[in-house]
Amino acid sequence: MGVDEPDDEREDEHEEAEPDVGGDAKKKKPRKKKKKNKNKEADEPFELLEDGQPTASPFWTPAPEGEFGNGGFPPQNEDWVDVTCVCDLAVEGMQVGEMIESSHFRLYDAMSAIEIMDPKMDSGYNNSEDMTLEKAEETGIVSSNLANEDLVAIMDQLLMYYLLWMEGHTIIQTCFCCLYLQDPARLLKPMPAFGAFVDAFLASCRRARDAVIRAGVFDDEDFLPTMFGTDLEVCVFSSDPNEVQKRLAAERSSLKKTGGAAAEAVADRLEFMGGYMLALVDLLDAGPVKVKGSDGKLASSRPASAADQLTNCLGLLERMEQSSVGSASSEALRCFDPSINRKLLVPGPPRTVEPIQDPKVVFGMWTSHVHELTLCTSLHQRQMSEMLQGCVTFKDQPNILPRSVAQICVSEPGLARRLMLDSMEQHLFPVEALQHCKKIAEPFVARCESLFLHLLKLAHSNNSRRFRRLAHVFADFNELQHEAWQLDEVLKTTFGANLRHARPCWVWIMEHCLQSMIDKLLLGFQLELYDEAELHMIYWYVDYLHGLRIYNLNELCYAKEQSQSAAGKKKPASAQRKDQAPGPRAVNKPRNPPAALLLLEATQSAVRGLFRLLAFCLSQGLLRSPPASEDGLAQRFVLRFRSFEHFRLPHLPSYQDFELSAVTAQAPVEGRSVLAAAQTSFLEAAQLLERVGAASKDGESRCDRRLPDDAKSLKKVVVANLLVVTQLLRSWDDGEELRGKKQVNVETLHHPSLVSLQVVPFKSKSRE
Amino acid sequence: MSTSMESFASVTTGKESLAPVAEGQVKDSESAKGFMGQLMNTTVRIHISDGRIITGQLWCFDQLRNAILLNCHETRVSAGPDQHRPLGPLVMVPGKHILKFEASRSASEAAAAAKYQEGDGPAGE
Repeated sequence: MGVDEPDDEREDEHEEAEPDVGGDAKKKKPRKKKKKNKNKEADEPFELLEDGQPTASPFWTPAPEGEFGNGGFPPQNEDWVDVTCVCDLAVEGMQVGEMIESSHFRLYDAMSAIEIMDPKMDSGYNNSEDMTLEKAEETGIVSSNLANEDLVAIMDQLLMYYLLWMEGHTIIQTCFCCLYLQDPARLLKPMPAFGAFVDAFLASCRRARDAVIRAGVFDDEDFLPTMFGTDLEVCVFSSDPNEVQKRLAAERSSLKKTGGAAAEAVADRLEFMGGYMLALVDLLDAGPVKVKGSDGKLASSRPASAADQLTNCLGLLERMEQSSVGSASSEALRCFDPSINRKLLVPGPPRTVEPIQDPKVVFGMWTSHVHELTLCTSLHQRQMSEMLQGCVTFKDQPNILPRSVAQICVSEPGLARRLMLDSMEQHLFPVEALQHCKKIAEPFVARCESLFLHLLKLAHSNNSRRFRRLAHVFADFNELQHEAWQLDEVLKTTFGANLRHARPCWVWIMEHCLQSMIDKLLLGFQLELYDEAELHMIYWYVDYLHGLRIYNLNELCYAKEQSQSAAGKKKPASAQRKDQAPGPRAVNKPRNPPAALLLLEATQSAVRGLFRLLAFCLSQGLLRSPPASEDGLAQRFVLRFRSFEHFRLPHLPSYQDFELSAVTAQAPVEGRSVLAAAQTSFLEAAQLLERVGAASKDGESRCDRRLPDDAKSLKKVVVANLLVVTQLLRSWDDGEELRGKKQVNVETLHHPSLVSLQVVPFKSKSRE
Repeated sequence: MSTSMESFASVTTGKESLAPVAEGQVKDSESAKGFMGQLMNTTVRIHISDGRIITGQLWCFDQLRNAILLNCHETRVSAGPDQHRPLGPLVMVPGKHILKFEASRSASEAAAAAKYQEGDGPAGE
């Protein structure tokens, strides 16, 4: 489990070139992905003959080039002879299990053969039973006059299939399994309300698909953009969103006059679809409309308009859930038949798409989807650090459309640079340096912009891709670290005592690099890559990285406080020399640290507590990890942290460093001390979390929207693990034997990357 | 003739039977097995019970009449023009669904004419 990082990391080294935004975008040639090791027998189904070339003979016809190697199959003018009798005669003389086979036959390859007439494997099986439009019209499955109740059911089903399409299923097995969409212009013109809904639906599908392709942050498992020959450009009345919206409004007025619960339900759905379509138009269509804000600056009005539409959609979803027909609509839903598109699928095991039956689940998913899109409307107000964590919350992946929309929004020209400069300014970088030290500052900023655009794109990729690709950014960070150091020297010379912090650029680069390292490590928890035996090792490293971050941020916040409090007062020369003197010195801590820094310190304490607690559990045999995992820790250390070696840290932790800490933590005689130390760490974390709440009220912390949720989940982790420590301490003090009597379950229950432990009675493996 | 052979024999497409080609060569099970062995890697055509015709290179044939074919195509005979569809590199046709087994004339003649003896039979023995 999880010990295959090198192959994963090497897989994507080729990346297509990032758009050149004025920096040095590294252009790499795409190269073939390395194949993972497979059984040699399975590498090629056909072995070449002895001379390395397939020879033509009456009995072996090398497959010509073409689809499946069959340029001319099936033979058109072949003269066929019936050999059935010979087959039967041969079979009579064969024993059970006996085969007549080609000399190139391999049983291993035969296992992957598709079985004809198997309903799951043979996509052509019972093809005569596939639905056709003619059959549907003859049997009344499609109609030119639908009752409002049926319309509600069909619209809800289309909305459900849209979500399934967004989850990675093919469009022909989801949205386009609706028979009305096979010829919408003809079938839906007699039903203008349904026609208007479908126009809005298809307009949304077009934009969604374009957005996902344009953003380029999807993988195969996230989304399938292939259309399989279907046409998304079709429409019933119009494909112009404004025209569609007008028609929807007209139909809604007409339905209101009709009255009745069903008519109202249809009207709600028309309004929802129109609102959703317009929100996508606002978010994605080119050319943001600029309006002057209250501060006199030009700002785009499109995100605000999209936010209004999506907020309205959220309200409509609640009403739609109440008016959904649910299971009473099976008759109306006969117009959804995936078999109509079966011939469009490639031969092979058909992936059947199970529709979601429960309307509550469907509308819950829609609510989550719309909420995630709403987050994308406020991206311009976010800070760089928040953006690099991903602007959308990644709940229920793949979540591909909100991620793609977010990526498109942050790719807006100039936005990344603006965010970067804001972030640098917060790290006390003097913005005037862009003019006064232009020669060195401008290229540095340009190279940073290139890297940060890449990081922003990674932030919107799925977790797997992010985990793999983050391994390759540290070399770039290392180069920037050196450039930042040189730039800081120039800043010192240029600005002298006016420079508020000795190393603003270097600290800024360090901060983002350390954050990326921590993100990479913690992503491993969400991807379930780690064995229980190595969790303490991961937390040990994370603790170290947190420590470096906290050190730098303390210095930074202290410098901010000093410059604010001493505004107008010049420091004595001795104090200035002390601030800028090289060599180790005590950390300057701010008097009123911001909430984000306090949360970071709390997290570090919790991580340290977890390291100690897990080390103790491992030493007492409370974790159910296989011996091989424990024995291979040294190799795992190299594997997990190898990519960090490309960046020069103040001290590069080695396995010996870890072993020293772990051995101390795991020493049998020190068991109680280790538990007590873990308890101390968790209590420290709890105290810091109390201070986070108080500090959250200041202006700077209010900008970080995730802070309250992060603090809440960290608190749950701390409380859960404190309970475990208390239980173990009690057992220890009572002289209770833990090994073989108790075990510990480890899960990321309350936090995506910090585990919560639970003490349970020991269960032997034979009993499981 | 067994019942299954009767059902097999009842399906004809008007093509010539094998008898003239194999006359004197395919006398018993052993020679039939040899004949089938010689058909390996040649293009064969199998009619199955739902009306489709599977065409591919014969790769393996077993005691249950299951056949494994390489690089197959499926042909659907309908009122209009025949529809062809590639099936993939490897397909197994269950013996219970095989109605008729056809080989190309050239391959059949070559298989019938090929010399084989007991102990020097086709692969798989």
